[in-house]
Amino acid sequence: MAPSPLLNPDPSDAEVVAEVLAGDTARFEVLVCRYQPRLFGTARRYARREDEVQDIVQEIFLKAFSKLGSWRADAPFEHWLMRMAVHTCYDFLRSHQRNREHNTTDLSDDESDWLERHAPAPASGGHDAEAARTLVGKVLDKLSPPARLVITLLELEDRSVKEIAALTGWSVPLVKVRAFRARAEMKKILRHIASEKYL
Amino acid sequence: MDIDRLQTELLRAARADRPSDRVPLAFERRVMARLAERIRRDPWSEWTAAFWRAAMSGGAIALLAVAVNWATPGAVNDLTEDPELFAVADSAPAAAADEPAQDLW
Repeated sequence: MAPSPLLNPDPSDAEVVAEVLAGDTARFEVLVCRYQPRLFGTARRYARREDEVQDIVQEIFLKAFSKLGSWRADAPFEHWLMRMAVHTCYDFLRSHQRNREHNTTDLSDDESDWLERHAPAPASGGHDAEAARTLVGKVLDKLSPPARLVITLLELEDRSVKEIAALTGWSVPLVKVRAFRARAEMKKILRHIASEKYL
Repeated sequence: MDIDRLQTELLRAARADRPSDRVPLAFERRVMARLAERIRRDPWSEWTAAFWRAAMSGGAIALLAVAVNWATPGAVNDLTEDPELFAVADSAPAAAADEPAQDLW
């Protein structure tokens, strides 16, 4: 006999989705609580301001709720949700593209230090990961939305080309082409930053 | 300066520092409140969206039909170009007028 939702302290995603689709919308909170840390981690890769991050995560959950009927239980709910998350983050990047122009010389002290240590001899020196991450954030801000998405998924989240294709809906060759262009775009920006700093 | 190695190093350092997955206090309540609000509002917005979708589809179909009509070679757009059809159409009102009035009733 299937356990009652009231007695089951840890219902599966499929059970919760079935309850929500049956009309118990309050049960959606179980899914929100379960996946919100994962979505916050993802959204923080694309947005820097905390209010933007919260808006993105909220939007993902609202979309997930309205499209819940389209989830097929043969694939994990998390994969379906992450696909929605990636699409929402991509939409965010495209809608905020014009607001993301920065002066590349506008580096913090930590970021300048990081460049000074690593630019002359990249393999040497310690790791100031936080400075590197914010510096990467500034470089990524200068990239086009598809380039930023593919660099984030491929290089920062360490996903395979196939995974990226599944998440974005792009074909595998398109992911490869966009990854190639994104790396070239990123190098160009880095070269620009470095030349501004050292010339 | 070796930009390739600089890029690799930068990405490696950034990869090692994952962004926080900290959730603001009671964020799930905010989401559920927005959901409840959306559910209350939904019947009207769904009707409006459906109406607009139907109107746009209707307009697109009409435009497509007009385009196909104009693009189809040999299509008769003017009845006067078909003398036979024109003659039938021209004689029909006269024939009706010649019939006795009681037959019409």
